Amino acid sequence: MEVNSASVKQLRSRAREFLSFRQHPIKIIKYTAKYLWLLLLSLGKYLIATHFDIKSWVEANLFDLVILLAIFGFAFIRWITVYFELGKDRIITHTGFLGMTETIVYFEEIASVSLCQGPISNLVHSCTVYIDTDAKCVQSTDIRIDLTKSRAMEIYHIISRKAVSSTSFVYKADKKQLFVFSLLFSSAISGAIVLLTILYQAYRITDDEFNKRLIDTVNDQVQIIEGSGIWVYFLAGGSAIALVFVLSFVSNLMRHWDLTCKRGKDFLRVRSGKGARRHHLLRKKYINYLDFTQSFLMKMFNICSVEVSCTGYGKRRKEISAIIPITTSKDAVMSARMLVPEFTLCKTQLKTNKACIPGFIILPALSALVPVALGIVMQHFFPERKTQILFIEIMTALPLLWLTIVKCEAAVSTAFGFSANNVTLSYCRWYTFHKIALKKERITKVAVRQNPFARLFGTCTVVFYTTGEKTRRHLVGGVNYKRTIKLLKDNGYDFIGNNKT
Amino acid sequence: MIQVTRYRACKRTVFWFFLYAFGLEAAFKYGLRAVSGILPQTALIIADMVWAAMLITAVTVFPIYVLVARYEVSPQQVKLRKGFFIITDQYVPTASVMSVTTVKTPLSVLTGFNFVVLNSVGAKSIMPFVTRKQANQITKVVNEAIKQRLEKSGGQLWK
Repeated sequence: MEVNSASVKQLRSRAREFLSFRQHPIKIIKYTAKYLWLLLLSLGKYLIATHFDIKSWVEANLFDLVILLAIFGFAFIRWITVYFELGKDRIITHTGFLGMTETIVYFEEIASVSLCQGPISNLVHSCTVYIDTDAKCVQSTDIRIDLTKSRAMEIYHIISRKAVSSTSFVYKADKKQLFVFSLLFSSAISGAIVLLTILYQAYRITDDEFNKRLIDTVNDQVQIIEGSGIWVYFLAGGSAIALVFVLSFVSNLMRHWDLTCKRGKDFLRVRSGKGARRHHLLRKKYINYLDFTQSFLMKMFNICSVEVSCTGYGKRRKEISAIIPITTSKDAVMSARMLVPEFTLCKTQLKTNKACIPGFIILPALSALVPVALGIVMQHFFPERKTQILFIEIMTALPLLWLTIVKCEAAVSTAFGFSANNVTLSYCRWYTFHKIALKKERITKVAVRQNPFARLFGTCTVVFYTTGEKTRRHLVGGVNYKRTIKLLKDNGYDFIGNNKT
Repeated sequence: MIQVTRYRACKRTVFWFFLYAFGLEAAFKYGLRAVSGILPQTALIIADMVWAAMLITAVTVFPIYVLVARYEVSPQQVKLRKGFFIITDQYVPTASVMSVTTVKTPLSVLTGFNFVVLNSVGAKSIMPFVTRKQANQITKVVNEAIKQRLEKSGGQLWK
């Protein structure tokens, strides 16, 4: 009897060991075909139709059932063959078709680790683990496995042993501040308002009388659509856009809810999310740069968010690489200094000024004139619709006019400066202002560009290329050419022909 | 004393480019004549005009591009000047170069259609239209720099 219980215990411990190195059983369902539910629906329908007469149901759907079993069988075999091993200094995964792909990642080479748990995963206690190294040739994640929450946390703690430090600093996002600032400065909300207003006016234009005119001019196909009532499409489109924007705003807010960022010895620990909880470990030596981002309104009110460029962080769907989501600029700078003291903001050495405004605004201002010109032409052909056309004209020109205003601000705030080991770049890309704090060693290429107009006015655009998974260019435009060349030369970035001057 | 080698784009490429362009022009005209019975006259005129515009642009732009292009290569850095309308000066520290790709097209000894690509992390720099000899020299210098950097950092090299 004792021998029997001992063998049962042994079997149990073996099974436990076997399962502890396998993925979460939910993965079996994930491994099955994506649209399997369509087959299940049809099988369910037949079962109901036969009044749950299993025998006749099996006979009638034998082929479908065999296919279904084969799919589940294959998924189960895949689940068995895909496993991982934990070494003293490395993690080894056997993934791919029947676990044929073996990936070994040494803990020392890990750039970032992310643990993501969505609402459904939360219910079944599963967790997706992403492990990334700085191997730039691989765009996708090096290791991606679905484990039980406890096992995932175990790996997380093994890797993050070094992250524990007695002198750690923790940044906690203020929830009220996060909600209010996100609501006020979210581009999603302002974009939704503009789009909905345009759609409402378009709906107003397409009343019956206007439909008649359209019907007279367009072909029969369109006539059918118009006849069914074009306003319905505008209303449906408007509602869909509003819903998408609201959902996007809420999901974005939830993603950064309760964000904490903790400084460790050589890691940054980021935890965030409500509903879908995320844990990230970012190795400091693989951080490329810090990006203090601001929209125009945020700049006016001294609000900013801090993003970080680190391999693996922020590259998943709907993920932003923020370490400080949204707060006052002063707070952001102070917190960033405490979190990553290696990245310091340098004093500005070269700056654009008011004289640069024409160069910055000429293109957006000209493009803003295009809808105005089109509007004038349309008014000529449809004089009775002057008010509506004027409205659409203004609404279309508005984003471009806004861009012109943003570029006005960019013209007086574009700058860059060097210190012994760091570089700070301030520039504006489209509607967003960026302040980049990076180390000199992270610059892989510097280019100075001049078009004929820039040559005429003695200005240029400096392009800084930095290390990263994707090519990221930082364009500092409209700066004085001679001073730029001199400053770059003083900092070791020399160009052809400089020796003569 | 740092040894800097200066290179300019191979001017022979202009001649060969013109030859290719006129060869293509002849082929295009021949092709157009072959389909003249199928396509309407307006389409033929538009195609001819677009082709002529493209050819004139290429024939004007290419020689200027070749005249402007110049490179300076040393074990520490690579400097490039390129462009036609927008002239770009580039500085690439060899410390950031991970690998070098040399593209040698067939008959490039004659034509000069050789390209050296410096692959850095997050950036790529192309040195087009160098002679085969120059391409080999540039590749050698940059590869030597990479090798030395690896040796200094204690990295492993394939023997």
